Amino acid sequence: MSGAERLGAAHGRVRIGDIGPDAGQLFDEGAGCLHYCAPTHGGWGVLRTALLVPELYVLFVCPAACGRHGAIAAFEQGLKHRVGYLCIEDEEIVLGSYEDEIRRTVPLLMERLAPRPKAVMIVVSCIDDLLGTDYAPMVADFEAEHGIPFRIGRMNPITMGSGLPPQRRVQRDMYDLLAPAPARDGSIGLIGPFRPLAPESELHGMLARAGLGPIRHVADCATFADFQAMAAARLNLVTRPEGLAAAEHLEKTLGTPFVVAPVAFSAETIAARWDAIAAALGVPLDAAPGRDAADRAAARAHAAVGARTLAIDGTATCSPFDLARALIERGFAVVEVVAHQLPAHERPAFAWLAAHAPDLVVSSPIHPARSWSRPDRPTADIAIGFSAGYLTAAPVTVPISFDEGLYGCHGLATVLDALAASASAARPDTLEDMVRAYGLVV
Amino acid sequence: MSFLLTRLPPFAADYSGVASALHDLGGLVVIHDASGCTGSYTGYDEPRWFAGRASVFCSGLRELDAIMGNDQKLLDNILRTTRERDYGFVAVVASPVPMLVGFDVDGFASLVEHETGLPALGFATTGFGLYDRGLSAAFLAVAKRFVAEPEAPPAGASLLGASPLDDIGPPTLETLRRVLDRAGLPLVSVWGQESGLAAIEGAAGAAVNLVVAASALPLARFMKRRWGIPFVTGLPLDADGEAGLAAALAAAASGDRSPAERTPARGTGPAGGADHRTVVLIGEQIRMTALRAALRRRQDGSTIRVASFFAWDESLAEPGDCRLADEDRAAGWLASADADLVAGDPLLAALLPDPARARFVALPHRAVSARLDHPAGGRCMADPVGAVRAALDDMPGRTGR
Repeated sequence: MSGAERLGAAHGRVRIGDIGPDAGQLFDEGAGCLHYCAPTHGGWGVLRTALLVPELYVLFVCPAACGRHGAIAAFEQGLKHRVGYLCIEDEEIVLGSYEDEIRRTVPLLMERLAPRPKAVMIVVSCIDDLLGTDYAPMVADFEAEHGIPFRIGRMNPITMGSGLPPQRRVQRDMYDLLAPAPARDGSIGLIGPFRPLAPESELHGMLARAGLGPIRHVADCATFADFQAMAAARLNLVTRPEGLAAAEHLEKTLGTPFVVAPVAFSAETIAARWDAIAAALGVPLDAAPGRDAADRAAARAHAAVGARTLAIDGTATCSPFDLARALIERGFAVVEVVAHQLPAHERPAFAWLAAHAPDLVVSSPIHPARSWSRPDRPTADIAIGFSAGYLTAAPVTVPISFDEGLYGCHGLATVLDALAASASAARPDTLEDMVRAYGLVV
Repeated sequence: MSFLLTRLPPFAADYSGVASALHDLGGLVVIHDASGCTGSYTGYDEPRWFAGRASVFCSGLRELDAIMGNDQKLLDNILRTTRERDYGFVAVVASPVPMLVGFDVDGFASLVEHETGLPALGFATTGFGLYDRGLSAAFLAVAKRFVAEPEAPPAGASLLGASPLDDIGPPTLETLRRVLDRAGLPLVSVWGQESGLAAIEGAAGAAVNLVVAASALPLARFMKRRWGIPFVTGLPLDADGEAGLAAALAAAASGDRSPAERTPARGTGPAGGADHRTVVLIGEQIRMTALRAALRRRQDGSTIRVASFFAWDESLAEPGDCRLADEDRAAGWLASADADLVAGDPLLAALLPDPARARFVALPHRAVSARLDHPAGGRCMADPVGAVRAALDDMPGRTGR
């Protein structure tokens, strides 16, 4: 019996020590069950991610229903003026006039948009995967007519579990807007995370001491022209899996090499990441200054948390198992990791936890039992990440999401300081308020 | 015909309407989609989701399963879930991809029923329709499947169409209970929230139905045809409205059908006059019709027009009212209406031709703006009549009343 089958039989909740050496992907992507969408389900979404590209306009072409969540989220994030919806009807699909509607609408839209966008992404939904539309001639016509780049994007969760799920595909399509740079510089492109690296991260100094930098991230770019500077990167650094297809694509189209070094928290894994980056750059990197900051933050967090138990959520970071390992190594009582899948970069941390913390519970956030068996009494004292907060009913939730700003020892210190702040708050924010403020997108 | 939205969001979809109507009934509801459709419902349209434990799940549809017609995976997962927990029924709710591949949702529901031994309902929702259509379909399906033949003389009243998607929440339900008490009618069932299958099963025993949203009119007409239950339409928005509705319900329940099946006390106002204004109310038709009636009771001579993007019944409409189609045509109609005051969901303010000319009163509608926070709108929704009246009184050249 594989790890996944065993987990399925246990309602998506199991001791890590019981899983055995073959965890597979942990829970099957299809989960072998119906999927529960907790109120904390979601992330950045295709639209919000695409709109990280400055001066980009997105036109969704889809049944109206497919655009609703992104549109509401766009209002929440102040982005609605950068997205429109061509809501198609069933007869247009049946009669094959779908493409004609796009050709009819884009000129009307371009007349209305002020200021004029510097690029347009036409995003289609799941149904287009089954229609097999050839957009190449249409895109060429639009580019010739309007003199700006057009790209086709896809919000197609029906491909989740494939090699190119929507979260990866959208980043590939965004970075496809980069044109070749006249020359390379010493910059590093940060691909994958939704927010730039924190200015205090030790990586900035490590690179500067090696004569390299800056680290460029799409969210730092104020204009489409600024964004184009990312094409000059000496190396693309992929710190979250969402950036993998983009980095592979940029290596093919622009010749930019890349290194995959996902966010890490344990000392051993962080050291491995520094080694990988140094090897990719061909220069030595000195990481020593960052370690002291993490040690000091750990002391502060210990003072605030005491013996309280922790649950860690896979939406807080792409490396929840390595975070669990880092915290356990530093003496914290981690009792649960809420995660559905086990990506390859997490396998060493998973194996470490199975050996050193066999009672740690691993639970799938989408198993239906999470709905009806959601506890009335907390099963953890503090949760790091929204879904762990909801599913364990922890009275305190640390609002860490999607590794925003996190990397290296400074990333760990940031998590520890956030943990200390939440644990010592006299009146912690309610989880519902935090979730609403963050604006998770399905 | 396709339409372009640059100012408004797409509205709540048909599958959200179905799932919302079934939310409190104790069934296993499966939205057959990849994740976005279920997430739109749970994360945006359903205010009960954060605190609730209802079993509305996503099928986790994947590309290969859709192309290959692998319905067995869905059936297996439904069977597994019904073995783990007791449900009163199973509902399978379709979405755009099942529509495109020709998924036979009714046939599949029959298979589910055969395999689970539970009543099963199939809904051929597509994501092209709006929530009101989903609510109507779910109400009718539940009525046809679960409402038992009455065994006692008619008594009491049911509330039809009390959906959170139309912003019927606990305060409104409390008011509605007060209306029934005043009419001497015990509550039989609430359709849209709160009632479970047990209460719904007894709905044919009601002496009268109160329809609080136009999406429930097909249900009301079905119950009238099938069991002879008269119905009254309306929503109490002020003290006079409560009294009028209670009187209409009492009359209908006692067999006086003349005032029933229409909004009680529509009221009329003389047109023209020195302070004549044009007011446009955009939203759920029965709510806005009730608001118009309440405003007319002040007899100020305003022309009041009702418009809606959603369920529309001509029997409730007056000349000048309008069923809105899409963003561009709605903006065009609003421009031609030349309104002094518009009331509706806050997002609809973007359709005003000249925001400086027309006052706007925010009355949030969940089916439009979902989970968006509208603090001012929340206050207005607590007393929409007062909010619109205050805005009218505050307009230049107008004296307070």
